[in-house]
Amino acid sequence: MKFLQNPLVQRLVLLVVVYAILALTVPFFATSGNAYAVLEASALLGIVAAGLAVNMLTGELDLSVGSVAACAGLVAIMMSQHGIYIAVIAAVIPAVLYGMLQGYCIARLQISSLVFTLGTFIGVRGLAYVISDERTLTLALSNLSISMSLRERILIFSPFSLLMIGVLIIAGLLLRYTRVGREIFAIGGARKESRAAGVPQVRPLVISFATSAGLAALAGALASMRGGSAAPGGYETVLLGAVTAALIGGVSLYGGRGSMIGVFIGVLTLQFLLSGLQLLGAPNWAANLTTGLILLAFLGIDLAHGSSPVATALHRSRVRRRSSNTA
Amino acid sequence: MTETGYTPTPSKSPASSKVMRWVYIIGAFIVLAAIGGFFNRAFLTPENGLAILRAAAMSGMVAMGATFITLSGRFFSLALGQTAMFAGVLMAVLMSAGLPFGIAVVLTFAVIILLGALQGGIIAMGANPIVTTLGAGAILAGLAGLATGGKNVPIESAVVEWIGNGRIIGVPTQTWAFLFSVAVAWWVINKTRLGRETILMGANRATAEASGVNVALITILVFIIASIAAGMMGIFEAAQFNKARVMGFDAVDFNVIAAVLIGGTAIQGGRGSPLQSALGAVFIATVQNYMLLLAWSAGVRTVITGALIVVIVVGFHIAGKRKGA
Repeated sequence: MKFLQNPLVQRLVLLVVVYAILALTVPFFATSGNAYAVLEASALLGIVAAGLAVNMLTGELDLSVGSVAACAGLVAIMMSQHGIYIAVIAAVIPAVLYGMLQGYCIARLQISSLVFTLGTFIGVRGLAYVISDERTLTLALSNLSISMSLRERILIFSPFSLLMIGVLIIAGLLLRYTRVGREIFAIGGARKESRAAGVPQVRPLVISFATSAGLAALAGALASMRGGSAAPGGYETVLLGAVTAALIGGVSLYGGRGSMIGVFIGVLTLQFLLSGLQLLGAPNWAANLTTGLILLAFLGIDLAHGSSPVATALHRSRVRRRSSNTA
Repeated sequence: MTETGYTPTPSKSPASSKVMRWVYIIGAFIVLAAIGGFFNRAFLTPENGLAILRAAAMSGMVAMGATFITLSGRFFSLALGQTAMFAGVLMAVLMSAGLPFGIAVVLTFAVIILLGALQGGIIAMGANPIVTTLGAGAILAGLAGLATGGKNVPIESAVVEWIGNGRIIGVPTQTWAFLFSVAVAWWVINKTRLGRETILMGANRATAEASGVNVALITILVFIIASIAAGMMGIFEAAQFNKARVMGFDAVDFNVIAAVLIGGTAIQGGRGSPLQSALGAVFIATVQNYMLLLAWSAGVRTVITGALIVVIVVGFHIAGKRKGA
């Protein structure tokens, strides 16, 4: 039963249990239509969570992802008459540049990313209000085919949800098999030791913040075009959802631990629960309440595993017990 | 000290540099007010002054509590807006259930203190304060939805009406409450053991722990203080409109954090004071009021607030590093 101690296996079991319970208790949950709906809802969250997970692996947290997604959505809608590809590129490239600059500043100044991104979180949200003139922008009628093409159903997938899975696979492979990927794990797991071992300190952070901003922009642009409208105040809860999904998937807030498979499992677990609530006709606030409770629960689990005082105390007591057994 | 200047300057005494800082802050205010008044006549009027103070009072009150969190080195809370909303809703629900005002307020604060203690407890165990309060905020928003079904709750009470809209010697009650909380926060930080231990813990947690400061207890206490401050704002907000609203608290966290940081409290903790945060709150309210008078859009105002935070945080960070070198 050794494999049950693997955190990924534990989380997969949790996912299956959640699915099984909901499938048995909630009518219409275990239908292919609902599977499509869950994947569709996961697409936005999954892409944002992938970027945020890369960020969390370096031991940082980009609070500005929701604001970036809102800005990107607005830009994409504005550029939609030039076609979907131009619109997405126009939304993503500025975000990547912004993320690189942000990562560079944080790495060079050695400032807490929470503090720095709090300012950009507010500022970029303001930018969203400025570029939209405080109005909700909608897709022109002649461009509604973009929205249709993003929703098109292929078995239980849509182009958007397939893209989410693609992003997760590519990010996972890059993290695992490239030099920069290993550097990201290294500076997240042990910042001082990695520095002593000669791992560059700036480059991984620049890439990690560029990824979180770029993927947030990609998700925001596509989700806004799929929905046909973008509001400057939108995507406010996406940070909450993405952090929760990453934590469910075993990405640690203390850096250095986590995987893209975990993120996928986390996003699906969260969306299964939210979709179950929706099918039961629960009001809007229930989703908030559930996400918040899950976040705090998994924060507790992360506490017991990461490099927190609680984890150290637990580890010490385990070692003590073992040594007293052998004595 | 690695001074590389041509003339060797004698090191300033802490007292004189403190005085100089106040001179700078007050000087900046006077210059700003003069420029403002020059370009816009409506700016330098007593009514507008009271309006600014009233606007500053709401987020300023909460900033007094939030200063404790920042001073203790636990960054800040993203649940203060939701705590305020929840306090207003809870009081309104209790009162519509027939409880008198006094009991409703006491019960509300009891719940708010418990919530603050819970958040502080989780963070004391080593959890990331931002993520913890992000989750707690979502839960509070959910609970407020559960209690109200997403609708505003009306309050009918003469006492509440007076608390929301009364004036004592021509000054709104909110402003008095703000001044009162500034005095209390100043007293706690400067004159009590709790205040000193909070600052020591923010300056160096390891040292604080080694010198016998109960770090976990202080963490819980600072989150309780911040929650009480937020709850106070929520009750004033509900009283002002005679109903507990479930929307419109999104900007509270921003304004509070902006007030604390612009006031110059170091985000790493250990340096700063509630008085500076109070000035920060008044400063932001002044700038926002002025931008409003110029009819600038909400977007531009938000961009400027965010940019101010980045500039000031980075500025203090660099200044702090240079001093430490």
